[in-house]
Order: sequence, then structure tokens, then C-alpha cells
Amino acid sequence: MVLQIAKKDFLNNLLSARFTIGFVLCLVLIPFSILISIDDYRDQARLYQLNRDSADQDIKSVRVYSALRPEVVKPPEPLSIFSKGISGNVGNRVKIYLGEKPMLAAGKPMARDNPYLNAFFSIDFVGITAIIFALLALIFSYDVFTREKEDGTLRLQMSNSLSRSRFLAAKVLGIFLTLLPILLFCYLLGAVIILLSRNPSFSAVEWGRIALLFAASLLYLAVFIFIGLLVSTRCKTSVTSLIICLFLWVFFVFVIPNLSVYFANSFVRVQSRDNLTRVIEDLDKELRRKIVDYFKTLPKPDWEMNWYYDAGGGDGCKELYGSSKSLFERERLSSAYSEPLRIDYADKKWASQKAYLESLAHQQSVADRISLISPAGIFRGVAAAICLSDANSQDRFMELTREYRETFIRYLESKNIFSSFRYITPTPPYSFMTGDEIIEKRTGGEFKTQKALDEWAGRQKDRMSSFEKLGKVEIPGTQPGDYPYLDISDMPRFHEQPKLLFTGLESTIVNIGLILIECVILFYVGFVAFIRYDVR
Amino acid sequence: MLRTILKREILHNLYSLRFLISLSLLVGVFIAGSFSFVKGYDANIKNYQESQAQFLDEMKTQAKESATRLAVKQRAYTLRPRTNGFISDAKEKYLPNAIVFSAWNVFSFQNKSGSTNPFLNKFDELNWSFIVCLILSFVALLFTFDAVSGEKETKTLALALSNSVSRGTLLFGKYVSAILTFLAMVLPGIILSGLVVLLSGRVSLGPVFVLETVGFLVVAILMAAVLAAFGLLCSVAARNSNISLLLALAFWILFVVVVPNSSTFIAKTFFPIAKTEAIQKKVWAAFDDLNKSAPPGSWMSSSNPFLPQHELRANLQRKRLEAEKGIRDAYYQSLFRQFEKTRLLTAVSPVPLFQYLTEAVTGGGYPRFRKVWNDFHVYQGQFLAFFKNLDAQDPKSPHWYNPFDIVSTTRKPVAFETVPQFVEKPMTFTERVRPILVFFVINIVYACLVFFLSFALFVRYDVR
Repeated sequence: MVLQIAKKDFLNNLLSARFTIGFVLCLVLIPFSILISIDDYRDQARLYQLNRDSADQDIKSVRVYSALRPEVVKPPEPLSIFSKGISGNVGNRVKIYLGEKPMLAAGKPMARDNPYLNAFFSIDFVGITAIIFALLALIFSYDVFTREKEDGTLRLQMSNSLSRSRFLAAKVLGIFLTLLPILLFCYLLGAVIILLSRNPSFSAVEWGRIALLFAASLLYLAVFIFIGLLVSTRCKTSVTSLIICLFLWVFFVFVIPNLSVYFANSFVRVQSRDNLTRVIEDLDKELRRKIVDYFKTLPKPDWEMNWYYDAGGGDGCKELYGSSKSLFERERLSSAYSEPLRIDYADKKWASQKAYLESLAHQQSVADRISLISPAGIFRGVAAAICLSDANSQDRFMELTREYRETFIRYLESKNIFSSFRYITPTPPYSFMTGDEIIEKRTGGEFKTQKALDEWAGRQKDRMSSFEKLGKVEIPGTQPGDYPYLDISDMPRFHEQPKLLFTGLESTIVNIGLILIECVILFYVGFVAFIRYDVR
Repeated sequence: MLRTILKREILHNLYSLRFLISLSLLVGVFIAGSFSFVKGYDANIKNYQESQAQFLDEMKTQAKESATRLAVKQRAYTLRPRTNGFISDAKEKYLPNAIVFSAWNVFSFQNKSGSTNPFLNKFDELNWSFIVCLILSFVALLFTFDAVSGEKETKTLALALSNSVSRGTLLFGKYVSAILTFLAMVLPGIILSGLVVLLSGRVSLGPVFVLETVGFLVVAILMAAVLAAFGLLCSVAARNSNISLLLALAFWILFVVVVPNSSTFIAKTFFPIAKTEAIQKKVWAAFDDLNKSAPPGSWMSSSNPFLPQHELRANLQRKRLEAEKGIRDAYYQSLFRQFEKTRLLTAVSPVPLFQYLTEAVTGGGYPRFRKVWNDFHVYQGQFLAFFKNLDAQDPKSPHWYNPFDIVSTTRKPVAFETVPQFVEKPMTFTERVRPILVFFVINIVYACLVFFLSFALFVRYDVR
């Protein structure tokens, strides 16, 4: 009997206008959202490729360890095609510095060339699913009892030897049988479009996670079906039931997810980014002062000139060529002092950075907690976690980059590199010369000492004329081009956490449990209400 | 007769359950949104004031050091949060909100880091504009979707038309009554929300507040007019109210969800622009050309301001600045055009159309930024003239203008009070209205067209 009623309802629904319109909506909106997301993904992949090539090129073209600062580039997440989460708000590049721990990724979010387009929002597969299936579930369930009551068929059914619980089960089954093919169709359509597009290609784990997303969608669908059933048991007419269901739809799907973020943004303050920048700048000033003070205590070199000097990279970067032995030694001693201190200061900065990050995370967790009021809020949170585009995934990535920074520092320390000449120059120490030796060689023997050259230059009108004399004879090994790039084959590389079927889903167990509890409670309340329902 | 129809329809709407639920929801959201605004505004203003104080302190320090340091330093001017953000935030938190400039150039714009929490999903503020866009647009359709098909089902339509009333009058009466019902719902919300904001002391009751509130009501009614016309269209296009409802919901999803969320796709597909990487390469290529053609010694530097090579470097740096400015300014214009064309295309939906109109009401959003951007170019000219005048008065300066170096122009300090400061002027009526005039016309034409279409269908409608 249950199956017969379910079959009857299924056939009735199948022939109804709401099925046709709902199906057409899915048929139009799902490919549309998937195609837009694939287009976005390809843009991000293009940008990732550019950034990775540039990072690889940069790291391969360094000659001194002080300029060796690897950059981690995060590849776009293929699953973000289904749920973008916060992936559009965060960057994809993290430069590893000694003087600062990675806090937030840099880079152009969403690969948008025009920053004004950030004012436009975009929707993804999960967003469309959340809107359409909540609506369809309510549209198919709002009149389950009221319509039959109005038509008089409910009384007729109840006059048979059919228990109310069986009748309710049949009705629920009928709605599920109607909506399940549409939901399945949407996922299959999405999968077919992705398979046909070939870029991106999904791995087995990613398809597995899509299956998990489908399971979450089923639960989400069930919640709204039970809400519709409950409303239907509490209303006397279909019109009343419909109006209440539609308002619940707007409230749960549109108002609450927005309201939760806005409330968190207004009532939970995050620390000022300007303040954090100021704190970091003050610490940087303090560090610079200490380095300069130490520098002043070092013995003066016999000749203050570098034939080539580059400190453009910051973070202790210094590249010297053609300097005197004593100048090389002073710079070596300076780096041996400054670099460990720089790493200590990164820890000092981290205290403020961490507090700032925690305030951001707290605001986000408050928004998440408020959004638990709505099944749509829970579903979107779960979907973002499944698609690895939630805040936790980003946090895990940043944590890995911080661990990588520690590994990189250990690598440098294992080479005892900060107190080595290799940190600042590729010039071998055995080839270092005194200032006078350099002057004699460069001037082709015209001047034996620096004093002689200075005295001659002092008599000239153009004080720069001494440079012309120094350029007379080129000394091999005093230009960057005279040395090969660093061999960094032993440098540790950044590895992303392997993606498994359940990676990152620990935090969503509570949310999934909540949806399940909602389902059970709603069904139970609906069942009790129907038991007491006046079918006349 | 029209008055009778209006009275009957309005009373019917006011006594309905949907009115009661809509009103409760609206009032709740209006009040919650206002409290949130007050709380958020305080924090935003505090952040802004701190940032502004830091901006001025830096300028003062540099002015004390030398006029040249003050002139060549690139700094970011941040836009002040608007006090009327409770009407509409115009998505300003996602738009560029800072302008990078020096006395020599207005370099770029940026969305200042820390403006939003990157871990939060993108969101709309719960202001009047959002409530109208989301809830009232829904309500406008909800009050009209069964205006004709519903009456047909209850058999009152045939009865109504058996009187000496034309179909046009009946439809027009339903249309106007839906708009008036919409007004009856939005007014209490606006009054309560206005009271919360006024009592908080963040906003004062003056002519600007009143005019902006009235302006907002006018554009909200314009949006309701389009959506109510669509609701009527759904009602006369279907034989029963269930199908009308589904059609109305499909329209609502199209207008509120699909079109606004497709804007980026529309921009990229129909109005493509050059990639930023390509522009950067163009700039570097221009720099390379200039470097190659520069006389030898152009990059030589020393602490002696009169070193002849400094003049060469100053000339080269000015040429580089001009070259980069030419390329970047052309690129910025292409960004503006892309954004404007996309907005025009998305005006096919009454919801973005309404959002663009509220920008004029509040004097915020994109038109505000464009005005500040243009005004900044004028200010930069004044700042440069001021600096050149100071430099001309210094006999110790070689007067070799270099937009990036501090060696070969005046090294004298300057009294900070005499330095011209940029002050954002509020948008005038003309400045507010001019950019949105086209949207205003589209809205009126749109409402008339859809209503006319509904009328054309209703004339042939079988009322039995």
C-alpha cells in the first residue's frame, strides 16, 4: 500500500507543472553555474601556471643564499567548481621570508584583472543547489496534506485500513522519488560537463568527495521536505501553507546566510590591520637599529667599495662582488649577527600576527555558528569543507607554509650558512684581495694604493674620474655573470598535504550531525502533528 | 470605479496572511539591520580615524624633513565610511577604497588590506537597499502573481468584469494597489530603522536625511513597479495560480540570483580587457626603451645635488613616469568602461537596476569613487604646482625635477599647514543623477512595457 501511494504521488508530481518548471530551472541553471565555474577555474589555473613559472625562475636564478627565498604557489582547487567557499577572497602565493612568518597568502583573488568586478558576486553549483532544491522540496511538500484535505481524498484514504504512519511514509517516499531523479540528474549533468571539458580532470578522490557532496545534498533536501510536511500538517489551507513555506525559504536560504556574516562583521570586531602593520613596522625599525648598532662596532674595511652590490630583495638579501677581503669579512660578520636576530624577530612579530589571525578566525566562527540556524547555512559550510574551499582548508595550507619555513630555516642552519661567505657572495674566499691589490689590478698598475688614487682624484675637477681609472682592467670574478647559479637540488621543497577522501571533514562532523538531528526532529514533530491532524 | 477597485484590492492585501508575515519579517530585518549598522559604523569610523591620523602624521614628518620627501612619497588616501550606509553600502567594501598618489602622479587605486575579513563569505549588509532587493522584490511578486489567475479560480474575476469596468481599469487598479501595499510594508520598516539610526546619534535629522529617504522610497517604488508588472504578467500568462506562482518564482530567481551573479561572467565574456600581466610587460618594455635611449651615466648617483648626472636621471625618471602613466591611465579607463558596460547589461534585471539607482540616492558606490578619482587628479596638479613653487624659491636647489628621488630638488622643510590637502566633496545633485539617468529611463520604460504586455494578454484572457 505504501508503495502504491508513493507511486501514485510520484506519477502525479511527474505530470505536474511544478516538476516541469523545476526541471527546466535545473536544466538551465546547473550547466550555467558549472560552465562559469570552469571558466573561473581555468583563469585561476592560468594564473597559477604564470606564478609558478615565475617562482621557479626566481629560485633558480640566485647566486647567494641571502637571496634564496622560495615562494609557495597554491594550485587552484578543482572541487571549487562545485563550491567556491572563500577561495575567491584569498590569494595563492606565499613568499618564505626569514623575517616574517607567513600570515595571509598574497596574490590576485579570483584571477580578476578588474578590481571593480569584485563588487559583483558570483554563484556556484552548491549555491544554485541550495536555492533550487530547498524551493522544490517545499513546493512539493507544502500541500501534501492540505491539498488532499481540500479535495476530500485524505478522508477517503484514512477510511482504508492504512495507518497514519504508513501514509506519512508513503507521502515522504513519493516526494523523494520525485526529487531524487532531479538531484541525481543535476549531479550527473555537472559530472558530464566536467568530463567533457577535460580541464580540470578530477582524481578518484575528488569524485569520491563529489559523492559525499551528493549525500550532503540528500540530507539538505530531506530537511526542507520535512519542513514542508510540518507546515502542511499545521495549516488549514494550501494557500496558507504555501505562503509560510515561501517565506521560510527566503528566510533560511537568503536572509540567514547573509545576516550571519553581517552580524558577525558588525558585532565581533577584528583587530585593525593598520595597527598590526604599525606593530610590525616598529619591530622592523628596532631590528634595523640593532643591526646598524652592531654594524658600527665592526672593524672598518680597508676599501669601502663594492664592484657590484645588490640588496634589493630585502629580508637580509645582500649580493656582493669585487669587494675587498675586509669588506667581505665585515658583511659576513654582519649577516652572521643579523640573520638569527631576524628569525627571532619573526617570532616576536608572530605574536601580533597570530592575535590578528585569531580575531579573523573568531569572527568567522561566530558567523558560522549563527548560520547554523539555517539548513542552507549548514549545507554551504559542509559543502565548502568537502570541496576544500573553506577557511579551515586555507588555514591548513598556511600552517603548512609556516612549517615549510621552519624546514627551510633548518636547511640554511644545517649548512651554517649565515656565518659563511656563501650567504653574501659566490666569490671563493681564496680569491679575496686587499683594497690596494684591487686598485693596483684595476688601474693596470698605475696606482699601487688607495691613498695614491685618492690623492690623484682629489686633484681632478671631476671627482668621478677615479671610476674611469678603476675601470681600466676588468678583474675576473667580480660580476654576477662570472658565477653559476646556486645548486639548490638539496633544498627542501614544499609539499601539499595529500588529499584523501575525508581530509578536512573532521570539523564538519558536528554540522552533519546537526542536519541529521534536524531531519529526525522535523520528521518526528511532523509525524506527531499528522497523528493529531483533523482530516475532515 | 478605479477608486473602488483600489480600495477593495488594498484591503484584500492588507488583511491577507502574506501581508502579516511580510510586515513582521520586514520590520524585524529593518530593525536588526539598523542596530548592526550602528555597531559596525562605530568600528569602521574608529579604524578610519586611526588610519587617517597615521596618514597625516606621516605627511607631517616628511614635511619636516623636506618638501621633496613630501612630494615624492607615494601614499594611499582612504575614503571615509559614509554615514548613510544604512540606506545602501553600494558594495563599497569590495570596491577600491584607497587612491595611491604623490605630488607627481595619481598612481593607482586599491582595496585597502584589512577592509574585509578574507575568511568570511562575501555578504550584503542588511541595509534598506538589501531588504528591498531581496525581500520586497519577492513580496512584490507574491502580491501580484495570483491577481488575475487567483480571481479566476475563485470565480470573482468574471463577476468583477460583469460590472461596467474595463479590463484596463481593473488591471491598473490591481497594479497600483500592489505598489501601494508595497509602500505600506516598506514605510513602517524605514520609519523604525530611521528612528534607530537617528536616536543612536550617528546621523542627524536634516534636509539631506529627509531627501535621501524620500529619494530611496521613489527608487524602491520604481523597482516595485517593474516587479509588480512582472507579477501581473505571470498572472495573466497562466490559467491557474500555481503555474503563475512558479513563473513568478522563476522570474525572481532570474532577477535576484542569476543575473546579478552572472555579472563577472558577462564582463569577461562580452567586454574582455587586457590582462594585468600584459600591461606590466608593456610598462617594462617602455622602461627598457627609455633606458636604452638614455645618455650614459643617467643612473649615477651621489649625495652632491649638483652632480650633472642627476639631471640626466631626473629627465629619464620623468619620461618613465609619463610612459607608465600613459599606459596605466589608458588601462584604468578600459577597466571603468568594462564595469560600466557590464552594469548596463545587468540592468536587464530590476534588482541591479535598483541598486544602481540607490547609488545616486546615497551618493556612494562606483559614481562616488569615480568622482574622487577625477578630483584627485585635480588635487595632484595643485600639489605639484605648490611643490614646484617651493622649489623655485630655494636657491640651493638645482631644480632638476625627479618624481622618485630626493637629491636634486629643494631640501628645505615646509610648514605642514600650508601643504594642500585633499578633501572629499559631497556629490552634488547633478553629479549624483547624471550617471544613473540612463538607469532611471530604463526602469520607467521597463515598467511600462511589462505592464503593457500584461494588459495585452489580459485583454484576450478567458475569465471563465
